[in-house]
Amino acid sequence: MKRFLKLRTLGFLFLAVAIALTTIISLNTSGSPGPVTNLLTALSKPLVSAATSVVRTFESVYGYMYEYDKVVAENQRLKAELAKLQQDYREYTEVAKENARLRELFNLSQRHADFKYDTASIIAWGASNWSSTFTISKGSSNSDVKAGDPVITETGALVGVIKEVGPMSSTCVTVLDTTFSAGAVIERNSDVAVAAGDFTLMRQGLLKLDYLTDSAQVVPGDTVTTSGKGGVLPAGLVIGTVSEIRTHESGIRRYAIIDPAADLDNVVDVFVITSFEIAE
Amino acid sequence: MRRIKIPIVFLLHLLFIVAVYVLQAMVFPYLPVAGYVPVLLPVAAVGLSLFEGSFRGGGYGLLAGMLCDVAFNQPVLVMTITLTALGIACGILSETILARSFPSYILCCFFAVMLTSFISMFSLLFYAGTDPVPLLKSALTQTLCTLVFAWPLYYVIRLLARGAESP
Repeated sequence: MKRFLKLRTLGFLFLAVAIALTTIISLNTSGSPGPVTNLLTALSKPLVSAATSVVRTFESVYGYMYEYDKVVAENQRLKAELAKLQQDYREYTEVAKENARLRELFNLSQRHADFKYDTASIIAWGASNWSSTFTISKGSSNSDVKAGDPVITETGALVGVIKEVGPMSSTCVTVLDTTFSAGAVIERNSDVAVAAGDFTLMRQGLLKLDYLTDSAQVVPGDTVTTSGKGGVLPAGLVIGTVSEIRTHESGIRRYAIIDPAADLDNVVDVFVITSFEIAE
Repeated sequence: MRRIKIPIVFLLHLLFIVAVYVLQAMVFPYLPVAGYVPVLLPVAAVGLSLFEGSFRGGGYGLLAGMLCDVAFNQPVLVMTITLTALGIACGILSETILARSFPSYILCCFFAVMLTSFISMFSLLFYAGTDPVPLLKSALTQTLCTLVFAWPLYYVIRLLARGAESP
């Protein structure tokens, strides 16, 4: 018992000395960690590193699991934003095109203040090889369109004439159709003639300028417009440009070939002139 | 069981005619063959009536004719009457003297397309005074362009006819 107490006293004494030494050493190394701290830090470093590594691994796995949903949600949001921007861009392009068309139409309106227009889209082209017709999106229920109204492009080029009006759509014959016929005038010298469709020329995308007077001066490149005579069509609509002068098989009369001003293969949107002043 | 089968084949025939209309009116005007739109609805009416007989052939001809008039942007009258008559006529021929085979079909198709061409050019020829040579040339070219597509259509029509005959 006595021996045990002696050992215990010695142990406490050793501890007291160790604490005292540690305190003295620590107090004398102000500004630096001190050797004890350094020693403990060095000893604990591998353990801390290992622990940190494990924690980081867990953090990473948890983060992946937690962030994955966020990333997916963000991806979906960005895809939606991209789709919306693409849609906006498409709309912008369409609006820009429409704006350009309307600017052209505005210029035309300034030249022909008496015209009243209605916009329409071509919804179908006729499938017949014997005629040149198309259907537009305006009819009697959604427009003032009526049979005989001229159909033009934004530049004032004549596309055709309304043939039949349905409730929601109307059928138009183009300037190439064999049933089309209109009073025409050569813009350069005001010589009058008749622009009419011809079956053989229709297959080539052309029309005829017929009934030229003997004194008429027509040369390739001349612009042909509607004369407005008869009150069927307004004056000044561009039919096309003369591309060639031919002589009838009889050898007596001449006629000219007109290349239409409207690009019939690519026209999509048209304007129907629903009202105009008749030139006398 | 048979009572259920007949309407399905009937619906398939209607679907076939509508598909041919879509091809003729909505696809080929934008993708013409040698500058010509193949006229497939008379071919469909003739082919169906050849295999289905005069009564149904007339009905299919009526529908095909109405759609053909719509495709041509003209009032529902001329092609409706023509294709109905063609459907009945081809049906009667197949029930009496014509074999239900490819040569008979092509012969009927040629006749049908030439007849529709002639009806289409009628006013140009007799009222507008158009030169008949380019009209005839166009009629022949249109017929040839159409007969190219009549060949694959024959197999569809025959497949539908076999479906109707199987128990």
